[in-house]
Amino acid sequence: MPAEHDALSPRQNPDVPILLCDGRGFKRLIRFGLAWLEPHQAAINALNVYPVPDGDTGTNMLLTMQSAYREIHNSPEEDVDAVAQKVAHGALMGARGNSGVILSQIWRGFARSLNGVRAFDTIQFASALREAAATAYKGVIKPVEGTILTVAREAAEAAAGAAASSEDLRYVLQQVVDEAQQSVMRTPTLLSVLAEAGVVDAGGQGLLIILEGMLRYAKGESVAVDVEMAAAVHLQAPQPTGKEGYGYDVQFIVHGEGLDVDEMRRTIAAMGDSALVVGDSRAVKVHVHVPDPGTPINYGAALGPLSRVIVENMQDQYQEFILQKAQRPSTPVEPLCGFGTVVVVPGQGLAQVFTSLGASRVVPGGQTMNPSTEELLGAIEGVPCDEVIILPNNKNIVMAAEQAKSLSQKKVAVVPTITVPQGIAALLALNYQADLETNALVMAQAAKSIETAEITTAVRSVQINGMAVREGQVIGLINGKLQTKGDSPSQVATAALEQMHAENHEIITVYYGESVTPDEARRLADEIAVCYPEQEVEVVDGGQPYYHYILSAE
Amino acid sequence: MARVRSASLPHSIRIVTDVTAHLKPELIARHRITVLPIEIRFGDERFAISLTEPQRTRQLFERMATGPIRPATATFSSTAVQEALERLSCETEDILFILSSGKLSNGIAKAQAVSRAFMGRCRIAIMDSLSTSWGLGLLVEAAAKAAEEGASLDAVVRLVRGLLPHIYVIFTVERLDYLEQGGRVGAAQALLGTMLQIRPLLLIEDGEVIPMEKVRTRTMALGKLADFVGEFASVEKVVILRSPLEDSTEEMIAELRGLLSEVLPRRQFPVIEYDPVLACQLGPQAMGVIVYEGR
Repeated sequence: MPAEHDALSPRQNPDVPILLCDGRGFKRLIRFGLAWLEPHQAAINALNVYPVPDGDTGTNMLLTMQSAYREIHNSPEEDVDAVAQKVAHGALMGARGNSGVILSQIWRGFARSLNGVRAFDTIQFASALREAAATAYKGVIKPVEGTILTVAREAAEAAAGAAASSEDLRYVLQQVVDEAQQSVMRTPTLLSVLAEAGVVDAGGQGLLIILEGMLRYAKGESVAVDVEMAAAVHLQAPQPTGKEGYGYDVQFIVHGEGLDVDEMRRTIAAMGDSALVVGDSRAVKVHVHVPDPGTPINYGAALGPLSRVIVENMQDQYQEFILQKAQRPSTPVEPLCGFGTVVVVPGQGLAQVFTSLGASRVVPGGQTMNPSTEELLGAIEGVPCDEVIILPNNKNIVMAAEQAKSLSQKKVAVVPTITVPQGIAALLALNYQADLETNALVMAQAAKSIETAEITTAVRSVQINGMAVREGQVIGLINGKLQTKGDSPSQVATAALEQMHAENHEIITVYYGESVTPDEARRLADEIAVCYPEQEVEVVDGGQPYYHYILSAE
Repeated sequence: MARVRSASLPHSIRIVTDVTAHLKPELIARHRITVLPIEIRFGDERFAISLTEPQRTRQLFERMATGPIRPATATFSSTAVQEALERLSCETEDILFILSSGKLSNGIAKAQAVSRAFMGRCRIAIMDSLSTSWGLGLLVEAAAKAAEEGASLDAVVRLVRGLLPHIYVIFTVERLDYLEQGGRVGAAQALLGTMLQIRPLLLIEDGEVIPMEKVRTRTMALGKLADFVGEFASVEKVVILRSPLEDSTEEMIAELRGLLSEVLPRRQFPVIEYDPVLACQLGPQAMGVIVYEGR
């Protein structure tokens, strides 16, 4: 094969420039980007300014990349445009959280630019990055600088500059990563909330890591997790509850000297199911299904450097399977009704509340409490109505909902509710006699007309909104903004009600989560009734995870 | 027995309605309107409601409010319709029935069935008011006036038909269980077992009870009633429909009046009781407004 058609390969002599990247090369770039992202997942999550337990950027971007990689995992495509298309599609469907959606837009633009290209050179690569950044900006209603958008844009600019003077992809990638690093470090200067919290932007960092992983491949470096990093990075994937727990499919190879395969097999087998441990004293391949991927990985990393680390969320795979089944029409006699509603809800009790109010489909949040575009799309298609309204009930799900809407053939409206009580208010305002547009307006208005407070425990210490929050303190978010803190959920709940001016409203509803007993909830309700004698007080068993109380005043 | 046509004015139409129509006694007398009684079947109890026994309505509401929930239906007696038609067919050639909504009671069906035997003897028109109490009364009054002025049966039917779309009825209820029991709530969304306090807004449209949006508190519900009134470009009349029961009704009326005055200042808002036919669907503790849009 002529030299210029050689795929990007790490075995190449680092002094020989890499001129082209074809489908196979791009597949490896993606795989390395994904593999490098995995051990950095928790560190990226820790950058999230809001110390709340759900919707973490690192996990969302990882799950999005995993979905992207699954599309190309077994594909034989040689042409880079075909592979890029598949990556974009996988990312699109698996996008979770706003960061995941923006990442999927990045791949979409990247793929579109490469249409008709079999293998890209530096100039085409730079164009693709530029298109990627532009598409990401276009996908956001109000682009904010100091985020992943800025990093994408500045990385693309660096690529353009480098491609103008070099035909070596390795060189261009290096410039891209260097600039991305600088860009990430500048994000606190652009976004004051980052400066106050003392962190860089999580989404930007996630993008940097992916690009870094790609560079490592180009340079022939491994994306192994070394011992120090494993120790510093607590792989803190939240435990799936018994109801959801399909766990993770974890694979890796441990390298070392004098590895004891039998001992490893015994240890790994005790961690989960379907353990497969094979190899010799120098390299051992491990494959196991576990509830917490940190457990086997930390164990392996303590024995030696790891390579080919893959973590897959089995619930995703299961849900994909269910989705395939659900998309086959179930009962042909189901009448096509007027409106269907799709609501995203954390917790069994809350799901029941929404269902009892007439919601057609409840979508659970999943491990990060952020369902993917595909999951939302499946719910839309599964509703036996031509017109569907989506209530995301979480700031981090709105974009994925919009994405699902654009993919659906049905008439869909997204009412941008950012809390569960907003979702309830919106659903109540649904008037089956009015049309979709009117309802979308009326429901959005109803959602805005109420006050919501969410009470949870801070997962890290951070400085935000002029407040110093310690990990483990109870915090209260009012209409999505962190505004109070304290020592106990009840205390913070009553403080939040004060800040919400509950006395100006008529009814206070207390949804208690799985961390609170019915007695505790009732005691809080009694206290509230005493402080607010003119208001009605209602207590509902929401059963939501992470949030002790969700309160509304309307 | 020979049938003697008693002296009657040419083209004099005789109107038949039911006891739920809100009509002044003078009007009934002057136009010699026939008012059919209704029987409300409440489980295995019977409440016969007629002009001569209005207090039975109140008894029904009290019974609904205090006792266990029962399915309730409103029925007309074929005998009463038969007797009315036999008497009227001697006095006139044109008979006009304007009755409670056929979706809420069986009056229309009964009138149609009994009238068949009288075909050929006189012209009988049967109209579904699609409405209730005050709305029904408005239609009867308009028909009676037109008939007095010499309009033909066809013309009166056309007149009444033209008024139907301008009468709007909207309600809210304190209790959801009667709605569920009634089972005739169109496009129903499950309201009971919602785990949350809910007050639905209900439109009476085309004679059916149609759920609209829902709110959480009484004040919000009354606010929605006022909002509804506010949406009309021109309003000829607004009437508040209340339950005959006391308890919190007086406060609610005062609150609703206040809200309505903000929407339509310098207006009167008369209050009348809603009828037992509607109570079969909405229960004993509902409150609503009728809006007559005018033309």
